[in-house]
Amino acid sequence: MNSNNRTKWISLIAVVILLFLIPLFVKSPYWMLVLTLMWIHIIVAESFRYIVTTGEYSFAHVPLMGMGGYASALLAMKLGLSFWLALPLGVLIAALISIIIYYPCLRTTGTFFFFASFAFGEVMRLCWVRFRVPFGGVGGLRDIPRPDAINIPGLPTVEFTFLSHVPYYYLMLVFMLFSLLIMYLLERSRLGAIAAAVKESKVLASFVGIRVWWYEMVIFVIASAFAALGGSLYAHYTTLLVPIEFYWGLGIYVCIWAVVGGTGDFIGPIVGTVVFSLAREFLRPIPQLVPMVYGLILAATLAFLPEGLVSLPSKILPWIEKGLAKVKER
Amino acid sequence: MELSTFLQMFVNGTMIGFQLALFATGLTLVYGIMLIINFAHGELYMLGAFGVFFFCEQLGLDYFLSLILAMIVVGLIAIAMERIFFKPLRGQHIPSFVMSCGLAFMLQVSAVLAFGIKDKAIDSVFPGVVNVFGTFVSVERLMVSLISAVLIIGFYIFLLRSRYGRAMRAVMQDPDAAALQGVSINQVCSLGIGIGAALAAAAGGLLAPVFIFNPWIGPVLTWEGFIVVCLGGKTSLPGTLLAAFILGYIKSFVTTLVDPVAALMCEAAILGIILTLRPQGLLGHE
Amino acid sequence: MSTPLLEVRNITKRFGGLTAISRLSFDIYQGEIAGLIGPNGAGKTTLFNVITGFHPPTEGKVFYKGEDITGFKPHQLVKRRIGRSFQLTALFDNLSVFQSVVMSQHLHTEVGFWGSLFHTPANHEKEKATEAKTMEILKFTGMETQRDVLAKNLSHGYQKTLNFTMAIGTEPELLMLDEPLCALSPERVAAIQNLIRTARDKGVTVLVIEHNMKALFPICDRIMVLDAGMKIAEGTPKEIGENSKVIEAYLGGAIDVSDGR
Repeated sequence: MNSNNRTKWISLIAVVILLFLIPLFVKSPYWMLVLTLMWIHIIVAESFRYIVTTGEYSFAHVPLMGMGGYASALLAMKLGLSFWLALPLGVLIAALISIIIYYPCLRTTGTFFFFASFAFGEVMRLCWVRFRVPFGGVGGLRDIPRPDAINIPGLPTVEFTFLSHVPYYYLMLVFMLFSLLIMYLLERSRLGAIAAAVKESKVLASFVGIRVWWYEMVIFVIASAFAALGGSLYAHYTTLLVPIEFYWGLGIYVCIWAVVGGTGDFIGPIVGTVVFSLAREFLRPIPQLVPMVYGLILAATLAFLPEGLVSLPSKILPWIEKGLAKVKER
Repeated sequence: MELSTFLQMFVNGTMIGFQLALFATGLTLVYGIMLIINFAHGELYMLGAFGVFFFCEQLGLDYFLSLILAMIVVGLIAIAMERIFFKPLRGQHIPSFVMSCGLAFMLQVSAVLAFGIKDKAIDSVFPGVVNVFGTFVSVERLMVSLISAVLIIGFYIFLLRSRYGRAMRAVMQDPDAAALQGVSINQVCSLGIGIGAALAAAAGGLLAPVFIFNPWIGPVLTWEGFIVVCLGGKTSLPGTLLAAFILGYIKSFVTTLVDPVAALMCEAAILGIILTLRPQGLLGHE
Repeated sequence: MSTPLLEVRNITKRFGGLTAISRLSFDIYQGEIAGLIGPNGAGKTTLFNVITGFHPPTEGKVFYKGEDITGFKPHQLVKRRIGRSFQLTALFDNLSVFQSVVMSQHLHTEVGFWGSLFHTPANHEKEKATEAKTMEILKFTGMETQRDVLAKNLSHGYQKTLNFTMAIGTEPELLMLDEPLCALSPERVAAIQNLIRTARDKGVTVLVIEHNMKALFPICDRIMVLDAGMKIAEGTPKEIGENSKVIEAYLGGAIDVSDGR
């Protein structure tokens, strides 16, 4: 492993350790909430980007996040399953539903795919509104059970109650790191190389023997599974799910986080989500301006920094080097 | 099912069909001429409603005069929009689309600043009901359909007979050939969006006495208009008419027989099915 | 002669009111280099598109090794060892030459999904094998010097060669080339001509669409001529060069088929 790689690994491990230590410094419940939700948002944004690696933008992604939440919540509420069982089952159910939603969309591409995925996702979402039984209609689901306590012999019991955000913080953090790890490995695998080829040219990809629709479907389902994971975590954390949360608004936000962060790079959506989560906190006093500020940032990014914030260092570095060189001259 | 219920649904469906036809024709026109999906179109409808509100309620003018004035004003606003914002981006689809979203937002904010956020309404222009086959149908709704029909017919006469109409059709078919024949693309673009906006504003103005409105009614309508355009065939004007009524009747019947949410589900399903199974819509060609 | 490798039977293709191809039939035999020429708009590329699964034919059938492959999708054809290059270069713009050719080995590489996910040592060996094979292919077409250049940054000549290289990378038995020689420098043309001959010597059957007849005629065993969607002549290059119908189709002037070397 050369020194460049080694530095990257060390900084990565340092960051992870830091993330685990944050609750020792941050005591405010409000900020713990913000951070905990941010971990969930990163899962959804990164999995959104995973679909973008095939070249498509999906607006069924956020509704599928909701589906994961609803499935998991209902399994816990109606069948009495423990969170630890409801979560994987909920993810599985949502992943199966994503097959139904995405299958017809495979025939489309670009803007058509975008709208088709939105249309089918919306049909699914409207089911939650229309069918009070079991989805709870417009009011949604309340009093979703929190995760059961974790009882490992020899270690203190970890309880998930309304009293503290800290156990949730760690729960989401662990799931986020797990999700990121898997998505990272996937991108470096053969599947990732195939996705890159498909994104460049579906036509040429099929002419080298790639069964484009199959690989797209695999990627869409995996991405949906992660979105569903985020949804399920969200449901059992906030104990409340309403259909309107998974409408246009959040979908566009996730898209903005990923795009502004930079969809070309794995850490793009992470950067985007963090930046916007923090930015939103500064806009708390003026919530009406949030859409406008987001829109302006998006427009500015598309105009001046199309590859996203992650490309900023590579753009600024030459300037800095020039500046340093000039200083050296003197 | 009782005859009266059926008639109500039919009259409503017809009215919604006309509303969508007026509205979506403008969308198809803009898409056909400039290949832009104009997401600010719903705001033009909204401004039509507010325009009539302004002239009729606030200035006290006659309703019909207000309607015409609103159509003209909104048409001019749209032309200005095109000249300032869309012309530099002509040919670039995604930036134009994003720009139209931004414009939609700006128009919403303007309406809020000018008229406030509260719901508005206009008094009924044609009060009363009429007895049709034993059912009481609102005269207002019938008149809206009638006036809409007149406007649509007028538009088609313009499109088919007048010199400018022919120019527009030429550009929609083949912009390069049209340019070679001396058609001014700039003129046609402005004309197209101006007329499209006027029609949308008319739809808004006609429905102002029927439904309450506020600055945020635009996006839902843009969405439905988009479904109509896709269903009809993106560059086919007859297709738009056909699709508008299909959607209008589906909306009306499903809303009454089942519930409003089911109607929304049908709309979304229609869009999904059309985009995936028959992208050229009903009357479009591929 | 033995059974043809590729049989095209009465293919007709209509787009709306336009008939692009009309009742076209021909056979391609194993081991030959066949050329397809015709004026612009004669339907050559459309024919390729129909055979290779872009558009299904309005009428007619295509058989490969006796199997009906009419309307088969591109990846199914690649599986059956039919490879194709494109006239307007279709490339993986943001992939390097090396990555592109690795991709073209999609059906032939041993690298598996799970191995690549966990980066097992076994997978590492397979990746090395694929990389070695890729380098071989690059050397064969003379692209090894460009291996890390992004496809979009290549010169036009190299882009066309990359197109050709990727078609070779799919290890075809039938190689369909769409205008591989036009708009290239004489050195490049000679290089590609050699490659086509070498491919045939290795057992590949080649069907070439080409405009540059000077470059095409020397390497072909047989030529077919298309005009307005119909086959108007078929024969050896010499026969075609003297065929009056063909000359007419190209609007006057004898076709100069002399080598010019």
